Amino acid sequence: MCNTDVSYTLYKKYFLLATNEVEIMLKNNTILKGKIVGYFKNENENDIPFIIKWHIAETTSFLAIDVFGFLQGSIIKHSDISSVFFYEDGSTIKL
Amino acid sequence: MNITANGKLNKVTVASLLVALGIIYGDIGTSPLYVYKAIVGAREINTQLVYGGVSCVFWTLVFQTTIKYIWLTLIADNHGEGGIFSLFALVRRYGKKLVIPTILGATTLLADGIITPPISVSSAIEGLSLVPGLQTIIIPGNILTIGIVVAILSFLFFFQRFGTQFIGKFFGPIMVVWFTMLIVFGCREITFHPEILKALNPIYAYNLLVHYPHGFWLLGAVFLATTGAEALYSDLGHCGIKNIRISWVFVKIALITAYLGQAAWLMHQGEPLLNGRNPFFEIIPSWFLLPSIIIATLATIIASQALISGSFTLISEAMNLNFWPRVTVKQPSETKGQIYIPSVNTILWFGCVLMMIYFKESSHMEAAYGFSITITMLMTSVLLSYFLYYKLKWNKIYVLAFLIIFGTIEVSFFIANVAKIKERWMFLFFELFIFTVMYIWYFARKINNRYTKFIALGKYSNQLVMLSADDAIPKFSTHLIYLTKANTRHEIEEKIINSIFAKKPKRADVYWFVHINRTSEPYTLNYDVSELVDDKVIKINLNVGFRVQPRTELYFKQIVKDLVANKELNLHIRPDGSSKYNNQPDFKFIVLEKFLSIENEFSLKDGLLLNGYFKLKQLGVSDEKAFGLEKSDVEIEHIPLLYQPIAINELKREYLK
Repeated sequence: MCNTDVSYTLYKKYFLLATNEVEIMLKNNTILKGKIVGYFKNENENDIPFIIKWHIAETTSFLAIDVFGFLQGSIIKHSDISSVFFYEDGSTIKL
Repeated sequence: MNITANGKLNKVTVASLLVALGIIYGDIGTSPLYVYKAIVGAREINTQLVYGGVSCVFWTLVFQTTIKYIWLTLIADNHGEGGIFSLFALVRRYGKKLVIPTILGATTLLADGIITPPISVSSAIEGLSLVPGLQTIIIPGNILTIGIVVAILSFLFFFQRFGTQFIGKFFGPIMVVWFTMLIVFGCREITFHPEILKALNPIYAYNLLVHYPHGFWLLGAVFLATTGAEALYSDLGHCGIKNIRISWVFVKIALITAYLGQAAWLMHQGEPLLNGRNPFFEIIPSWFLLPSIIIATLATIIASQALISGSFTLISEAMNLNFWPRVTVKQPSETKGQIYIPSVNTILWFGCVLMMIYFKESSHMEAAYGFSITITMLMTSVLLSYFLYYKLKWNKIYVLAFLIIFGTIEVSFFIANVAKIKERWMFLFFELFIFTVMYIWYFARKINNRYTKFIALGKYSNQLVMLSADDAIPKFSTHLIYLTKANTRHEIEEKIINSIFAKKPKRADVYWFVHINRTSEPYTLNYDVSELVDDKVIKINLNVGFRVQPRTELYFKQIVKDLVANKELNLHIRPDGSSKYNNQPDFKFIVLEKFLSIENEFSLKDGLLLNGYFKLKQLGVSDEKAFGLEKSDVEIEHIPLLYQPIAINELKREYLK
């Protein structure tokens, strides 16, 4: 992971926290509450990965997939995120 | 002892020089069989053409072979290995677009593989038409000649499966005899017309290209003298830089003598036209004609063998660098690095036979040969300029000078060879096929990776521990192993967690997640282990060089053995109590095979690439074979590549009244 990329900050935080319960504000002012359950990567011109999308779902969700295999929650582009508030430690990351 | 990364001796001995002669000079070394015949063709023999031709050949060997390949390109070794993919692995980080010249270079190098064997072997066999008594039987282009060439090529391709461990020992000595023959008969002719030495003056080359009618287009024929120069670089790993550079002195002397000898013969033979005669065989005394044809045939077989082996290596590297679908790779002998790829062997054999049947004789092939190699050389120059600038830290001006000088030479050769397209149109299909396969495989795999969701493995550690201890669920195996693409110790693909939890839960004593990291170094083979939960959740990162065939099961068992020996791991007994009869550990590998789900909405480009990728995947070997898990207890799970499901909001229920 490229540590100069802004997605790296959020990536590191995601691994550090125990609960991942977050409030994500998008650039269009939409607010999403839940937990980060996963992410998708791409590679830059030097083949160094960075995160392009995040998957956010309800905090009670385990795998964020329902019993019929339908995806739960939302997949959001990293570039659409304005800020992320972490309930666990009260910190906010502005992107 | 001086040993390269691949275990080859890098010191210079008579034996190592013989190996170099036998491996790398087959193609370039057999060029005298057809170069001068192609230069003169049906043109009137005069001083301007003959002197200019030999001058052009000489300076091509100086610039293109000696300076570019022997002096410069050989420096670009990747832990002792050479070739376009090794060069790409060295410079890939400096430019995203470098993948295109690499694919183009590799494509054209492979395409070259279906014309070099027929042109070389047919040139030698056609020499039989000069042997008294055979003039009316062996006629270039007749069914018998084509049949002999096809039989030799078929024999050669058939024996690839047995390797060249035994027969390869004779390659070096045969090539020494071949090059000595070139020197002896070349010198003999030069003594009849010593003025030919003046042709080494570049002014003759200049006069031919500028003042001779349509002289520039003769570069297409001159270029044939340097085809095979790329092999000097591709086989760097087999021979070592010192052996190549020293043996090149001998080879270059032999080649120049042979070309000067043929030019000298043309000047004193007295006839105005060539009339189908081959200057190469004309300089051989009639009493030595038959032995010379036998030696020439053997040399061309060695040239073809080198090309076939080179193609196997190229495809093997392409697979390991994710440019080519996984196909069966066999080790035909105990010689390290010697491989046999049945599918490539069949394609090359079919292509070579088709070329022979289509062109019928070597002179027709000369008109089609060379175009591909000019592209390979141009692409190597592009990659090499990155190496010189970023790796060797050359001044920008020097790199620019390199690009201008060799760019001009190679673009000139390319333009002169473009005229050959009409003779080689069928190659375009073959090249397009290889290019498309490489392009689809490389870029679709990137898209595929982009649609892979990762999660933090640590977030599921507790659930894994709970599942492992839950006696209410039947035990799936004691050791459950998944192959993962996640390259950091904390992450894993979501599909693996789904496989463990979402369906019928897979209870195991130890959960293993093995990541195979293909490194840019050719022969890396090491690993690191992270125990996320002691004796329960373990991640292994296996670093495997791009020249190493992955034998995951073997490596995995060795790692487990090491961990048990170090008392870092308890092997656990099997749940059914059978351990007391057979104490082998119960390992179960799960391979997750993706398929393209119809529930996706991709862009047109992504959709086409992914469809192509999955079609190609069906043609290649299965994942368990590709990862060396053939003998293991493997379970395949098919999972959809599903990223952006089609919204089904329009599906409405209608209530019956």
